[in-house]
Amino acid sequence: MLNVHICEDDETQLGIHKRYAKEIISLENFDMEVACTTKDPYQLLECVGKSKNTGLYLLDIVLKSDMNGINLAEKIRRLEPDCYIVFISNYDEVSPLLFKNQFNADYISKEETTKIKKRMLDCMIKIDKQYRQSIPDKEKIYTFKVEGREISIHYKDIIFIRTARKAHKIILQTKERRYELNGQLKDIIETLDSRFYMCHESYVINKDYIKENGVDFENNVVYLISGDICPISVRKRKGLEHYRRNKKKKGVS
Amino acid sequence: MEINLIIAILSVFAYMIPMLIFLPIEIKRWQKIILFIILFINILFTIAMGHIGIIVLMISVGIYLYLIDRKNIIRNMCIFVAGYILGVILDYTESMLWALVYDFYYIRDSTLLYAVFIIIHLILLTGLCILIKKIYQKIRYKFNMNFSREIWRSLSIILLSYLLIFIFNILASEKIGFSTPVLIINSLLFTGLFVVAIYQFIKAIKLYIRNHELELHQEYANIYTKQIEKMYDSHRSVTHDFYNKISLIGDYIKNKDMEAIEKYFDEYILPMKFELKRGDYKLKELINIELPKIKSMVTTKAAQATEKNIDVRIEIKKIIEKISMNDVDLSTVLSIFWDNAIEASIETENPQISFCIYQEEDMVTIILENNHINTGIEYYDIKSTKGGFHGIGLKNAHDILKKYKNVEHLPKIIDNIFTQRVEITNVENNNGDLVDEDDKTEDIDSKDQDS
Repeated sequence: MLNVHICEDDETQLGIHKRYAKEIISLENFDMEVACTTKDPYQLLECVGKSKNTGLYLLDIVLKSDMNGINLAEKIRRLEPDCYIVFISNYDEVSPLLFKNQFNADYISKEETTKIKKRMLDCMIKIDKQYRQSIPDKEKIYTFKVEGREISIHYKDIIFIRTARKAHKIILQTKERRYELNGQLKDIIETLDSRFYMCHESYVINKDYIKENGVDFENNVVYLISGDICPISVRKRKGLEHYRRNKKKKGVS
Repeated sequence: MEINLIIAILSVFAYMIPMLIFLPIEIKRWQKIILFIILFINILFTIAMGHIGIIVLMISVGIYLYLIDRKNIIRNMCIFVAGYILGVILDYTESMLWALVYDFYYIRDSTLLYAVFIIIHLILLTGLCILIKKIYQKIRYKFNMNFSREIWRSLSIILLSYLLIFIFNILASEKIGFSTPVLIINSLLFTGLFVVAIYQFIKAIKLYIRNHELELHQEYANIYTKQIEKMYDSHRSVTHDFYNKISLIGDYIKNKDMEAIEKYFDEYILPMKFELKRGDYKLKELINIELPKIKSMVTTKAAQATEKNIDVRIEIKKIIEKISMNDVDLSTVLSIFWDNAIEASIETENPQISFCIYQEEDMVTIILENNHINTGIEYYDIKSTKGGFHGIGLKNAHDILKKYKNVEHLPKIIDNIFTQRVEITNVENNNGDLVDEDDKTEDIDSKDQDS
């Protein structure tokens, strides 16, 4: 179950967005519920993390408060790292690149009032899909804690894990988003299975994500399907050479 | 004879130690052996020929260093020469001290004693070299030694002429028949003069660089001001227009002419929205960068891109006060990224560039995203195949970022989107933490888990 929260400073718009969300949920039969709608970001913050359900937050950027939507989203993310965020805002406040990278958030532009509902539907369909995939099944999963919340991820969804430049922090990158967790890379690699390979002191990659002919020994980098380019250290080449040979053999036979 | 051989071998080490400690390039074992052989032959030659042999030695080592690393021959040669001079100066100082204990003139007669002398010399030399290297690494970034090629060239010319005077001094003194103490005092005086000259030279260069930076900064600031003025101007004309149109609508309302209002609204008011969207307003979020150099640099590049009809988006929602990286380095890297993005996106039908900076706790992330025509050439190939300024630029940027311990460079290519992502963790030092040269060598104890 996803709890939908809406924060919007304009009362009329708040009502409209709430109505849209309710209509979409009942029409599409999503496993969601409108939990909290408010004008006041502080009131919304009180709701965050209270429920065991994951939250979906629809936030306006400009709020009539000392906290704007960006600050609010930062606070929510800290309290609930695995939540979903969608920004609803005016054209000149929309920042797709920032939203996507900092918050992994979608956005709805208020520009054309007629299209808001359509955009909201698109966003919610996408989130519903992501959410259903994230529910762990029997497949191997990796579980870790961020800020006291337990998060489970399929092995197959992990693209790479790398050390952060901060001490004792590592970054786990999945298709959708990145998680920052405490720990040592060397401890984590021991809990994972053979599809993961430590190609560099600070990188563990999922070998299933290596591009075809993606191992480049000339520049000592490996290209992943996700578009990421990871470094290879000289001493870790052996394992990848092994991998490349095996793959070629499979390709021939 | 055997002892002479040992002395020759030991002298070879006296040449090799400073080189192996100071040279920043990786020298393989077989290269070391070849170097050893070259030096050994030269030393034998020197013993036979006298000090003229040193020049032959310098030339042959120079040629070999050139074969190992073609790019940085001047730097490598300077290091070798400096190491040699360091050795000679140390040798003289030791000789003077030694002379206090033993009678100086008989050292070279007793080969065994001479061997002991050389061994002590080697130990002291190694210690001194390591000490100098440590000090250099510590002070390197206080002085910011990012000198250009030209400056290195002048420095090496000074160093080479010093070496020539040094050798000439020795040769001439031997011919004229100056006593050794005079020769030593001469050499030490020369060295003192040399150190003072180099110090003053570097000081002057730094002053020059600072002035140059100030000028550049001024230029960027001018561009920024012009951009702001342009923004203000277009804003004023739009507001002016808007007021006119609103007052016209007021007239229509007074006349209760609904049809005319509707028509007017559709025809004149609605299109204004797009007018507002377009143009210079997109750059408004640049205000949030509070680092003047970076701000003016990004403004300049964004203005350039806008002029080329590229759809530029700047997304900086919160004030960025601190980025733990040398601002000259950062603006160099960003301008390379921007040039690259402009060049690549302009080839597409709808060129787009997005730029964002955000801060999370103690980390600043900078992302530059552009669309391009994906030709299947991978990132690292772009550097080598395209050639010219374009390719070298990206490699330079990568090399600069690699210098920092607290900076991570994460390039990414998905389909038609090219992303440059730089993560900078805040550290106490405003100029960022630099990688020690020793750290470049890999962990030896790392295990291969597949094998």
